[in-house]
Parts: sequence; structure tokens; C-alpha cells
Amino acid sequence: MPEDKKVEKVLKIVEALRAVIGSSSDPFNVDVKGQIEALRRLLPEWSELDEILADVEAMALLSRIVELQEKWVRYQASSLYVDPLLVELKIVASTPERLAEVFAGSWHPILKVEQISKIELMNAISYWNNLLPFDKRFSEELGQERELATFDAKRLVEMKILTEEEINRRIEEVYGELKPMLDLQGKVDYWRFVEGKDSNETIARAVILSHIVSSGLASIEVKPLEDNIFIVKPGLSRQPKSVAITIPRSRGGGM
Amino acid sequence: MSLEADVAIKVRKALQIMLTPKVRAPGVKGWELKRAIGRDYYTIIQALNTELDKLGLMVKIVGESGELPPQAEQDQLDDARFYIIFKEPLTAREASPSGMSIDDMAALAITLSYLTSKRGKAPAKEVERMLKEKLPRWKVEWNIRRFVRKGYLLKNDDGTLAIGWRSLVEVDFKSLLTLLLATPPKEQESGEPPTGPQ
Repeated sequence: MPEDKKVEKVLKIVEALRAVIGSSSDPFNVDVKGQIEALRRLLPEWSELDEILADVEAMALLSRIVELQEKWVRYQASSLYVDPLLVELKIVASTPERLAEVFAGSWHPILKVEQISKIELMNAISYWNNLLPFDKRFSEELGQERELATFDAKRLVEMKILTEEEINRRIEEVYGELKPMLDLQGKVDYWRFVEGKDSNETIARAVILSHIVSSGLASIEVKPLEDNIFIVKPGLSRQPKSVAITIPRSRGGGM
Repeated sequence: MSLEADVAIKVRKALQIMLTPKVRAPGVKGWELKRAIGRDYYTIIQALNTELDKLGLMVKIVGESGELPPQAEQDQLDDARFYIIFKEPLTAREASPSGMSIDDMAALAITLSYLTSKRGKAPAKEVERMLKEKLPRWKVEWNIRRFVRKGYLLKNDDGTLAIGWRSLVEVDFKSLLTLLLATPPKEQESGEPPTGPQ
């Protein structure tokens, strides 16, 4: 037999023994005598340390199997041994009411007292009196609550997230795109115009458009009954007013 | 102080310690009793048991693998947990005010008898299959989780279920199997006459 085949045989024995030990299957399914004989035949041929260690492991597992066999015999001889199949048959044949009686008839509940002592009660009062109000308790972890605020272009420039040049370039870019459309069509569908390749770009275009509208280069017309929003030429709406448009994250990238 | 008076005080002390609510699980370790009432604590527990017997209660001493035999060694007693339990079992009707429904008790009877027949451990899937014979599907997993939480079952990392600490204390497995095996066939229970060959 080639060398690697012999090692493989020992490793297979080790795997099979581990499987029996790990499960609750019958340890008598293992042919202990046959396995020891196989290991004995292979033993003189081992020369490498790894091979000898594999042999030692197999022997250790076989001794564990013998131990399990002893326990198995003891258990089968005990008063608690019942054939699992018989138990299954009895369970299937019984009604839930009968099974409940079976459990109750063997159930001896633990006795315990659920009562608070005077000392525990005093500790609880002291704890409660020293407890900070809920809003103060977590202020350190959560920090102080802050008012909602808006980020306008000026703030973004102040925070050095955007430069004024960058904003102006983006406004000119978007306005350069919008103006010919307004000249040609008179009004442009808002969602079709702000739509970008993804939701981030859609939001960015909507922000830039709001700057264009705020600076009087275009206007917004909302048709609530038709559920339409249009970008129109400036001065067409009667009274200037602020319009809030919510942009869901799902918008953009193939609306 | 007379010996009798000393024993009476120690018996009361032992009872208090055993009934005091515990943070994790009920019962008290042998070494805790030794620390509180002295080295002769097992004699005191036997005296307490005599008193409890009059009330239909008893002390049960449970080690890692179940109830300790009367001839247990001192080391085993020190490591074991001492509980006070009902001496006599209840009927299903008497047990229901404890919060256990008929289905809950039936589920425990199925699970524990099946695990006992499998030497205390079986794959969770097998236990679920048995429970589905008698319980609605949605209740099976829910019940197993609850029994694990209460200590009736133990969930192992290898996907098996085993008998939990509370079952070892509260359930008389010999009675459980005897009662289950004594269950008459379903046809007779429902009052239908058994059918024989025509």
C-alpha cells in the first residue's frame, strides 16, 4: 500500500471515531477490535512524527469509545432505559391532555419565596432618591440636544466643505443646462430635470437648482391637484414664496 | 443553650437561606450552607427535611448529573445545590395556575421523555419533529426557547438539546417514563371500541 494511502486510512479511522463520539449514536457500532488490529498492522511502518501522532490520536479515541460503551451498558441496565422507538410511539398515540397529565404526575415544583426584605426595600428607596431625572441621566453620553438647523451655501463655505468658486461653477453648469430648455419649452418638469445617475447626484442638482431659484434666475410652479412640479421662467408666479420639496432617497438613478 | 435549641435555630436559618430569593437561580450550594450553619449542615438539612415532610415538601440535593445518592461524599455535597420541592406531584388541573397550559405541559412531557430515551441529549431538529406531532408549528420553536430560558432545557453549541438544570430538580424521570408507557392506546382513551379482525 502506498505511504499516503496508509496515512489516509488512519485519518479516516480518526474521523469516523470523532463522528460517533460527537453524536448520541450507539458506540457499539464501532468495531473496536477490528480498528485496533488495523492500527497494529500499520504501526511498524510509521517513521514520521505526524504519522505516529495520528496513530496515538486514533488509539486515544478508541479508548474513549470503550468508555462510552461501558456507559451505554450501564444506562441500558438502569431503570431509565427505554427504547426510543417505544417512547416515540407512545407520544404519537397520546393526546395533549394525557401528555400534560404525564408531566404533572412527575413534576415536583421548586418552592421559593418572592418577597422583598426590609433591607432590600431600604436600598431600593435610597437608590430611587439618588437617581437623577431621566433627561439628566443620559446627557453626558448623548450630549446636549441641539436645535435643527439648515445648511446653506454660506455655511458650507464657512465650514470649508465647498468653496465659493465651486458653488458658482456648479450653478453656472446647471443653469447653462436649464436656460435653453426654459427658452424652448417655457416650463420643465422638476423631477425630470433634477434626476441624476444616483440619489446623491439628484440631491446635489436639487440643491443647486434651489440656489438658481433663490437668486431669481428661475421659479417653481407647484400643481398640487395634478401632483406636478414645474421649473418656470422667473417673474411668472404672482407672489414669491418659499417652496419645500422633499427628495426621497429612492429618487435618482432611474426614477 | 441546649442542643435541641441550637438545632432548632440552625434549621430555621437553613430554611431562610434556602427560600431567600436568588438573583440567578433558586436553591443554595452546600458550601454556602456550611458557611452559614457550620460543618454539620447535612445533619441540619436532614432535620429540616423531617419538618418539611409534615407539610408535603422535601429537600432535594442535585449534583451536576442529577440527584445525589444518600451515600454521597462530603465534597459532592459541598458542590451540590440544595432545593426545597413539592414531595407529591400535582394533577394537570392543579398545575395550571402556575402559568403552564396543557400544551406547555404536553410539550415538556414529549421533550423530556424523548431526551431521556436518548440518554439526555438529542439534535434540536429531532425534538422539534416530535413536538410538531402534537403542537402547532409556530408554538414549537417558541416553546423550546421558553424552556431553555427557564432552565428546563439546555441548548448546546453543536445544535443539540439536553436536559436542563430545572428538569433535573423538578422532574422525576422514572415516574415520567412509567406514566408515559402506561398510557393506553388513543382509541381506548377516546371511548371508541378497539377494532379487531372481521
